[in-house]
Amino acid sequence: MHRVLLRLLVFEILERICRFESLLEEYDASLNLREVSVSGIHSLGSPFANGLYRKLASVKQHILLSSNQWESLFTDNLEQNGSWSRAQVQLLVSQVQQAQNSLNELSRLFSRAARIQPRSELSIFLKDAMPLSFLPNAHGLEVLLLGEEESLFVQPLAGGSQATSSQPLHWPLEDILPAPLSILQVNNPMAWVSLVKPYAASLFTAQSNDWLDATKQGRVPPLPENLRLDTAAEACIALRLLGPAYYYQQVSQALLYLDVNYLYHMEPLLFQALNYFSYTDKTLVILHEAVEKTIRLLSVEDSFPVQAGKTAMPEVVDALLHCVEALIPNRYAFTEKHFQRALKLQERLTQETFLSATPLYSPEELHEALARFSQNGPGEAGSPSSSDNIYSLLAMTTETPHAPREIITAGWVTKLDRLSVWLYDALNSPEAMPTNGLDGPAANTLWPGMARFKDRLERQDHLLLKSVETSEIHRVLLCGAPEEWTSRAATSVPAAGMPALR
Amino acid sequence: MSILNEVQILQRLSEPDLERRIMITPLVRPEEQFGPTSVDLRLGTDFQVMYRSNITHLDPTGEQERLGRDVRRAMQLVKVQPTEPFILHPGEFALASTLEFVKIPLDLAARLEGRSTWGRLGLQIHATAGFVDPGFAGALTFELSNVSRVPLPLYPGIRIAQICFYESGKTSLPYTQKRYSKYSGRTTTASSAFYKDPEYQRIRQAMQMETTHATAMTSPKPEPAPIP
Repeated sequence: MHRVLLRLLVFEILERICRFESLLEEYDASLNLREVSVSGIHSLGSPFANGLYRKLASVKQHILLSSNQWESLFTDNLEQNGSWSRAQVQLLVSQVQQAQNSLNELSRLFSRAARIQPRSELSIFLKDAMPLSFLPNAHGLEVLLLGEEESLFVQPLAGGSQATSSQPLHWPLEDILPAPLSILQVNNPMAWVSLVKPYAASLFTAQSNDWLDATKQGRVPPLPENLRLDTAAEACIALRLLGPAYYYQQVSQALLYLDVNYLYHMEPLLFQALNYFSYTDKTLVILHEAVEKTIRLLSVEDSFPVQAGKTAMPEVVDALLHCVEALIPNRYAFTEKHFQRALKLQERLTQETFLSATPLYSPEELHEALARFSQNGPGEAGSPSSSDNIYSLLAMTTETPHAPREIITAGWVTKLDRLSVWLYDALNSPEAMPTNGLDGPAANTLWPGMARFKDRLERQDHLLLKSVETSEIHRVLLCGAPEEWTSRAATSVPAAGMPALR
Repeated sequence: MSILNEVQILQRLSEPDLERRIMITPLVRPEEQFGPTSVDLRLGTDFQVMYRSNITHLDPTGEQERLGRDVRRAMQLVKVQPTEPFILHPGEFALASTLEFVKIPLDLAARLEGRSTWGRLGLQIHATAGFVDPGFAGALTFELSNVSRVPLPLYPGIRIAQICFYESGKTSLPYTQKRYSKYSGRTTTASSAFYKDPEYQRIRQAMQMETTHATAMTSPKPEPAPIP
């Protein structure tokens, strides 16, 4: 397995541990707040929460004890071409699987006991990415919080294999679209992109007769037997709506559940779709190459059972993507321009500032305009020409709001870019946890590297959520403004019609 | 110490030297927000309201962890939607924050003031803390009070305050590096962390020493050992 994927895999598992711990703290705090302290006697804490803390601490301890074996994730003495040996991979996989199984069990328990609600920012994201007006026969999309790996859905991925979700099973309310979300991801805006799957499935179902006709008439060549039309079409629809964020999320998810079949059959299709829609960035190429090398390595070593068979032919995927492009016009799609805007937000996120809006003009352009203004003089104070000039300058500081999808994509790009730095800091702490006596949130302080990792994660989540919300208020306040200020179609070119500098 | 005018503020917004650049984002409609020496700021969506029935009092000399919990218990969090108002009733006090992320360079200080439009309706936007230190970065906190006799509906995004900037000379003690800064980097409404002030730590220590001394004085002295 390639080092890039190994790092992503370890990052994902650490991230889930931190997210569970944050939820547990939130739950514990809400229980404490309900206790009345008039007598000065405070709650002793919930035994249920304490039990979960203890179990979580043992998962953390297991990870920490294993982490010294992962040192080569950050060193160069690897076997071939940046990859690990088969034995190393198997060891890591068994360690991750063990941690993952424990976490799944804990999250299932937790989802039954705690009453956690989806955040209000989620509806802003859904409105942007999955407009209901575009979806026939559905009056609403209902987000259902479930334990990790619990699902209302079963989706045959390829051949006879049953993998993750898309087809609702006997759902009684036909006009409501249920969208399951893991309770661990409720505060993680980057994971919300997974909600597009049932939406895309519903869109495909509405169009499926037309598509099957197109296949019969030869306008869309038939897919290979091992790749179902619905699975492939849904993935292409999701990518058209969400862009690279969907690719990042799907690869991370497949990796976490070691779904080698998904990586083998679907990742090449998704990557071709990324190229088709002209999204370009080094993080995409690096991830794709790492998947390719890993698959090659695995097929040689036969460590994992990959369902043999051809992957989809490029011309078949192109025909499918052409249909998807016609189905979802640019107005609703996440275009290449959106992606370029998202990439520019990465710097702001790293500096921990809001990324809800970007100025129409760059600071350099404003600086030049100010220099001209100073040279020519502002005109006589209070004269009409003086006030026109200053208003032209002020207009240059106007900012345009970013679409929530752009903000969330910036989160993914930053994660992929900063992943190694965060991991190195979390796993290379010299401090170790003791083997017993772990109880309650105090256990956090025993592994400072992990506490820093969790803190960074929480700060990033908060910035993304706050930016999504602020961008929505910005849009409300722009009601009635010139179209170029509100346009969702991204452009960094100064808008035409802006007042000229005199 | 002079106050910056609109052109000087614009120059600072586009300053090539990042250390000297002011950041205010999002700037939604600058032509409405800029004044001759100020920039209007907008109201955010997070509010905290005092919820008195949950606590008897806040004793700053108590255990710090318990005090933190008491403060959280005393403040009810309210989040409003983008087109939904927060109603501030007569005589009520609430904490809120700016919609904008504000970053002040190291050589400027800033002052947050109310707008006369709202002042005429009886809305005060801060109690005593209108001063912003050089180096501050984050969302600014409002201490809202309604001193009128009618409830005031406050919508997120309304221009509720104004910020003006003063040249101070470059500080060696920016807000983010102050040893005892308690609200650094906050981007949401933050409740008071008064109990973290080091004075209380000293008072607690002094009280403990007094108690120990008093116990020692009142406890019976051991009988002298009999002489064999």
